[in-house]
Amino acid sequence: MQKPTTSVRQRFPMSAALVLVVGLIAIAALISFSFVHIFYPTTSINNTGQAKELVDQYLSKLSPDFRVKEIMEFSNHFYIVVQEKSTGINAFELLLDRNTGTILYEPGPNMMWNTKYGHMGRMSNPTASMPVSAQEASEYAQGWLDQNIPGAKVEEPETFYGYYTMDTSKDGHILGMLSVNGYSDDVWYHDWHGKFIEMTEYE
Amino acid sequence: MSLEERPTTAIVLSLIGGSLMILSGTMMFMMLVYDWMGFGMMGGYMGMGMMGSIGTPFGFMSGLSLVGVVSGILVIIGAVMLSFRPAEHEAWGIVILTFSVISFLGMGGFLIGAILGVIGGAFALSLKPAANA
Repeated sequence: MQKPTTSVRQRFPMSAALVLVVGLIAIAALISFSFVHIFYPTTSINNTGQAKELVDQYLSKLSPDFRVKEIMEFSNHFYIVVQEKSTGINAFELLLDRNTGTILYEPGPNMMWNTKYGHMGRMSNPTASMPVSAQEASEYAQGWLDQNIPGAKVEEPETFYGYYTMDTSKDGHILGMLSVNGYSDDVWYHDWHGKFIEMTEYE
Repeated sequence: MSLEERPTTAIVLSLIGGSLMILSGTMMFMMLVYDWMGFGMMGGYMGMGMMGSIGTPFGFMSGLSLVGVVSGILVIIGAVMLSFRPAEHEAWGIVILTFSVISFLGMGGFLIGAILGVIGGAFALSLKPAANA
């Protein structure tokens, strides 16, 4: 009986199998380790004062022009509004993970709509003067709330480069917040904060 | 395509694809590390931000960028081995194809690198043995 011209071993030699297996293991390990906190000592943040201290430390590395304007404590994390001292305009929003002390550039409008510090659609001459006024933004936001969270009300809008962010409340209690695009009037509800705990504003 | 010919197209496409994967992965990783340290091109705004996931400054995105680099290295190894051992084109084609697809997780060599790798791997797999004289 004639032997087949190619065996499985010839078709898939040990060296290729080794590269495949080792490569897959290496990639699986990389993905696994990227979720693990072994590369950084974690710091638990228990109150707004600790959060402020940590964020001040972080901002001092970025620019002397930044200051913490407001910190809101939510069940999931601390939410921080950072303001430009020189212009008085709100620069960007941060999140601080209460379990690890890691500072996160807030996802959503802050990343996608911020025309100065965001990652998408940054302008060469960013401005906080937008086609959609703060008043109109509040009206759009209220319209969205009436449809989606009946009974909820919008609070005073905070102006950022490219968008407005405003707290939402119901029966006198803060529920969360949403943002309105200053150019397209799109509404983006922040559904990642969790339950509101307390808020501190800084002069 | 015949095994009598060297699988030049597959090798070249895979080498270019692998190189782009390494380049994009390295660029992304460097940018993340640099920004994490607070010295990035955006003054560190991105550092612990979009790219670094909560609780892991090393970051999920950093991990994925390294996946891109590792995939690129393995695609290049596959291409080099294909060049030296064209008879084993099926095995090395699978290696190239597998890691090119995985590289999509880590920017995929600016996307074009992964696509070139996939095409290169498919070419390697589709090589036909030369007809007996």
